Amino acid sequence: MFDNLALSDNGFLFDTRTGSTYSLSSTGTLLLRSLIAGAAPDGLPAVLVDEFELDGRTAAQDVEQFLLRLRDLRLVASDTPPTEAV
Amino acid sequence: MSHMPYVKPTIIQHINSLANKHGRGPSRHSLERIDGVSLTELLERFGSPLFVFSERRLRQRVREVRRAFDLRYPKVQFAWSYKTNYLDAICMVMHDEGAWAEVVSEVEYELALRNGVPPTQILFNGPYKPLPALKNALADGSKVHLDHYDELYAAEQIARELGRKVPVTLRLNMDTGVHPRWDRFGFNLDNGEALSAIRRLHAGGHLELEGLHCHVGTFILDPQAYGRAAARLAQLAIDVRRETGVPVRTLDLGGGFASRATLHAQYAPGTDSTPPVDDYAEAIADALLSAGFPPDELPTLLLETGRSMVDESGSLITRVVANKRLANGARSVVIDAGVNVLFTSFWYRHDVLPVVDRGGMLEDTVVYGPLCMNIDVVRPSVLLPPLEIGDALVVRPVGAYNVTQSMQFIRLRPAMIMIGRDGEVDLIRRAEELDDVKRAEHLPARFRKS
Repeated sequence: MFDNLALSDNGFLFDTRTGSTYSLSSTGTLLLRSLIAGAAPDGLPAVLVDEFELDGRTAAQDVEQFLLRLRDLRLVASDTPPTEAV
Repeated sequence: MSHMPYVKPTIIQHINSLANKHGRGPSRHSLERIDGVSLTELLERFGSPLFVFSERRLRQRVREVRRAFDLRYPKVQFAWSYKTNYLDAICMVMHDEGAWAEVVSEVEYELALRNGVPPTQILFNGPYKPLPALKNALADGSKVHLDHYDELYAAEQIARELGRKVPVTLRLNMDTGVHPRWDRFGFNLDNGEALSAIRRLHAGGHLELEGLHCHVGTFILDPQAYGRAAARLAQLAIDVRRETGVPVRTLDLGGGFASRATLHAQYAPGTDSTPPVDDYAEAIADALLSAGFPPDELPTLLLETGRSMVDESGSLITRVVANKRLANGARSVVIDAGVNVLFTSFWYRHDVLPVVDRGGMLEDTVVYGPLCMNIDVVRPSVLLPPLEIGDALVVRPVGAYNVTQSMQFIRLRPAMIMIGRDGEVDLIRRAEELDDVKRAEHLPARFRKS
């Protein structure tokens, strides 16, 4: 489902289907790259916790908001369930 | 484990709209301290939101403005425009710097007296001066600016009762090229009303024309408008001298110089587009000095500068209370200070800066106040980094009009502090309490619960 997305290391994203472009923060880039590589949304908070000194609740909340934003921008299917904040 | 600091995961869509030669806006920056005092510590000590005034900045600006005029014209007197900000501490700084008081109501007149201003150093302006206040002001030698014929007749009657000739100033309005034209105050110069009023005043024999006054408008970005007003006032003064033999001793050019705030409709920020005060001084002084007054009859130039003096000395510190995505995907934050204490948000694009910049991508953000009212928008669009609940923001410049025009509406009004020249921090107005709001009310006995 991410075949149409070209994501550079410095966070520039090009959607070949719509022609839209985006900028992502370094953590946004990390999360989207994980999704493109096949990671499940539920596993994304752990990616942040592993990478940064971050508590699980903040990681879960930030991932939830990020996935909602991806869904609003129609970069992920709307039926992708967001992770639940714990 | 990464050595990079954590920033929130963010994605921002690029919007390709009309070209903007100035780019997307200001680069990100933050403001952790004012005059060396930590804003985070101030919030912990006094609560949020909090108005912060810098005495150092205020005095610097007053001296800068005064110097601009003193360099160019030999007889200048400033009068502090009370309605711009009548916190006692602000007024006392202004008077300590040599300013008289310019008041526009009997309430402000009383405030000036309480601050120790002699009546002879009070300019009494405005379209409505209740008769007792007008009597007191004329009897005590204040500089009363007459706004209309009914006030002229009332002043004549008072002079008759006092049994002496009383000096007054006539307020005038005229076309100075400023739109919208301010013609609701004073006598119109363009249609001859001003000259008729002056002749009537002299013919009455009870009043003496001491001065002429004109307030061009508010937030005037064209200094030449003042040049035109000064030239026309000066010409009228010379004509009156020729006709009556009595020199006009004061010319009052009012206030209205722009501060470095930015109007919503302005393209470039006020820091780039507001003319330096020297340009206003140059325009006014040039017009007066070239008008042809005899050297010994050069009138005193009075100025009622308000916003330009105080605006940049005031900041509001506020905390983020919520992050929210709007239905169209736009980002918004809710802060704990609304338009009830930031009245000038309706006209100005205030700077909104994080106190601490923790990095992250900037995104266009709507900044909402905490009021349950749709109009409570502090900034419709400003670039801000990701923010957490509790993060502090600085809103500036807010020193002019926000204190005097604030409303107790839904929420109580915040505390106000002044940072002194040596970094001392003083509470100059405590936070409002519920009893302050309810003290003036009276509940009829039939509604009281026994």
